[in-house]
Formats: sequence, C-alpha cells, structure tokens
Amino acid sequence: MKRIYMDNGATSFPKAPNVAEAVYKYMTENGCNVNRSSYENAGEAEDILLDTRYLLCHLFDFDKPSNVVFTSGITESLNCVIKGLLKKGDHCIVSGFEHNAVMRPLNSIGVEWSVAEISKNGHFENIESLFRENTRLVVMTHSSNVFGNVLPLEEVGEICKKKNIPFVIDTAQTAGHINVSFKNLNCDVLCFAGHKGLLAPQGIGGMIMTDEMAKKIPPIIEGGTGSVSHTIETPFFMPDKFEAGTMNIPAIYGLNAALKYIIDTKVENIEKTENILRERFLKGISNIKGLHIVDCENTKHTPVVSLVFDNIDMAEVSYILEKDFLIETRCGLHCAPIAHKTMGTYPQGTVRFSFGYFTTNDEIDAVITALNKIII
Amino acid sequence: MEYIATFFTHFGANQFCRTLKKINIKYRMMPVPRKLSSSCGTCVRFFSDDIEFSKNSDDIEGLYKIENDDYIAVFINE
Repeated sequence: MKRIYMDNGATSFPKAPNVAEAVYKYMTENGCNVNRSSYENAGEAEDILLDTRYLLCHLFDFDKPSNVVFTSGITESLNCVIKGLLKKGDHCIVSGFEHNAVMRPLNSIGVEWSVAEISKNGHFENIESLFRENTRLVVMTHSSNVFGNVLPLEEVGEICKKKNIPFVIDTAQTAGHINVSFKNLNCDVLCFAGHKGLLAPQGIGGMIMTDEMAKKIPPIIEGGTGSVSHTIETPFFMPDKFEAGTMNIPAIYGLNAALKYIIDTKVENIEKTENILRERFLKGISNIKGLHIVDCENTKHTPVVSLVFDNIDMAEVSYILEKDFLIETRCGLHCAPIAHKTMGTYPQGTVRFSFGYFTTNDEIDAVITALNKIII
Repeated sequence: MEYIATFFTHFGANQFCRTLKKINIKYRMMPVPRKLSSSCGTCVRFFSDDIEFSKNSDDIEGLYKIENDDYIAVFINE
C-alpha cells in the first residue's frame, strides 16, 4: 500500500520539482553567506536572493523588491507586524477564521478585538460598524486553514483604505493556490509562508509591505546586516531593517526553484486542477451517511475539506485512516479555535483533508473508498 | 575605463549587478577599499566606455574612475 498525503494545509508534500536539487546544489557547491563578503560565489548567492524577491513581486503583483522581506516563516512575519503596530488597549478587527498565528500575538499584547462576520451571501456586510476610535489595525486570513473558504478581502481593503487603517493579510493558505494580488487586495502588508502552497522548504516565509509600513513597523530581531557596520544602530533602509542575522539561504534557493515552477505552471492552472480534485472528493463522499462536510456557502475555496462524523470520534477516524489505509490527515482544532467556534465545530474539531497540485485522482478515490469502509 | 561603484545597501549593489548583466558589462564584486568607505561593504568593479546608465541609479553611493592606482570621483550621491 502506498502512502497518501492529505495534509497539504499543514505543509505541502511533495515539493515542486527541482526544489530539493536547488537546496542540495547550494549546500554542496556554494555554501556562502549573503550580504557579508564580496567574492564571486557570495555574489551568486546574493543574485539568487535578489531574483527570489523579484519572483515574489511577480507572483504577488507588487512593484518594489526591496520591500520584500524574508523571515523564518509566516508566524514570525505576523508577529513582527502585529507586535510592531499594536499596543495594549488598541483595537483590532479580525475575521472569524483566524489562525493562532494572529490570535495569540493579539492576546499576548492585550489588544481588544472584534470579529467581522460573513453573511450568507459571502460578504462582510457589517464590518464598517466594527471600527472604533482606537481601531489601529485590520488583520485577516485570506482563506481558512480549516474549511478552505476564501474571504472577500478586496472589499475589506477598500474600507481600510477609506478609513486609513492598515490592513494586513495572512496568505498562508492561498499563496500558490489562487492568484493573490497585493494591489487588488488593497493591503498594506502581505505575509506569506514558503512551505505550503508555494511548495518550498520549511523555514522560509516573509512579508511584503508599503513604504509607509516599512517606516512604521519596528524590527523584532536586530543584529548584523552586513551594512553600516561602523554603527551599532540598526539600519532603517529596506530590506536590511528586517533581515538581521544569517538568513535561511538553502530554503531561499528552494523557494526560488519552487516559484519558477509555480510561475511557469501558472497559478490559474494550479487552482483549476485543485478545484477538480476538491469537486471529485465532494461528489465521492456526498452519498456516505454519517459524515458531514463543514463548509461556507457562496465563497471560493482552496483545496481543503473539513468533515465531521456522527458516530465516531474525529481522532479515531484520523487514526484508522492512517493505520489501515496509510492516509495522512489532520484532526482536531488545527490551531484555529475561533474558526471552529465560528462554524460550530468547537471543541470536538473536524478531520481535515487538504489536497495539493500533486494529489492524483486515484488518491482521492482511495480516500473515498476508505471513508466508505470506515463508516460501515 | 575601469570604474568602482559603491552603494548604500547590498540590495543596491545586487540590483546594479543585475543591470550590468542585462547590458552585458562584465563586473566583479569586491570589498570597498578603505579610502572609499561606504555604507555597504561591497562595491562593484567594471570596465565600460559609457557610464550614462549608472547616472540615474538611486542605489549608487559613489562612482569612481580607477586611474594610476587612484580612485577619482565621477559623482557622489548624498
């Protein structure tokens, strides 16, 4: 029996072709640090770094590569932005689908927060009424990591622009799955993960931001940047301001290869393929009694489906799927308790099936067969 | 003529290398000579008869002509 990986929402597998080779090539043939020394091999690594910033600009419809910042991952990006822009007593607006990468920083600062609800028609209808005098930020996930529903953030961005409140977007579940445009989303900061839909290694993510945000947000990590080394002050210029210390260069080589693959394949083709897989899965399980799809109506979806079962514990389902069928899923609360509260699946959680571009029809069919067997 | 360009940032130096590559000018990166101390410790050394392309660069801190083992300022951006 072959392993079937249904946990791409946690991290994608397999990665894009050439990613492992790019990492290996860097580690065995180059191995240099960037922004420190000036020999030719260091220059080559710096060129890949710069090229990766340009590729991210292309992918996210953004114009300024110096404002593309690399971090250890999207959790660090969100922490940097949220902790940099908010202080205790400020008010923030979030969606009802946030991951704890957003909620825990808000909670630890002591920020007041309001949840913008989505109406049945798939829009944020009453969001304007949530703004207060002390509202300093709106931060929202682009798509739920649990239910896969894409949020209509363009309309939120327009309101934020009108009210002059910064708008921060968490694209952990959309980047690489659907087209994400910094301009169309009307955002001020876009945070991204490398290891999910972007099909790159773990340990690399980042954020892209406007000049205004680049000035306003303080760095959370300070140290050597290889620039203005005669002073003990952290440089104010981009991207050095946010990139102290040695970056995860192997992962950046991997991200570079992954982005080239995604851009060549075209995100719209990835979206189309993943939608077909999702539809096949939904159709295949539609007649199985004793399980229910937890879903939002009238929204676009990423390739994530959450199920609840009438007579079996979610953990048992996930366990049997792996033990008897080698199907790897994630059950529980998926680090997103407020998303489960929004959809009424707290505290029991769901079993999540998250597909990827490399998932096959045969794998989807094998999961449907397994679910039929488990329910009986 | 041989030139050295210094930069405010590494990002700027890398951008400039990208420009040189695009217009087929051979270059080498090197540490900034002490005499030309600069915000960024890496400079770019290249041969070219035409330096017009470099004059609009916001990334360059200073452009120097190398003559008789000396560095002669062509322009310096504040």
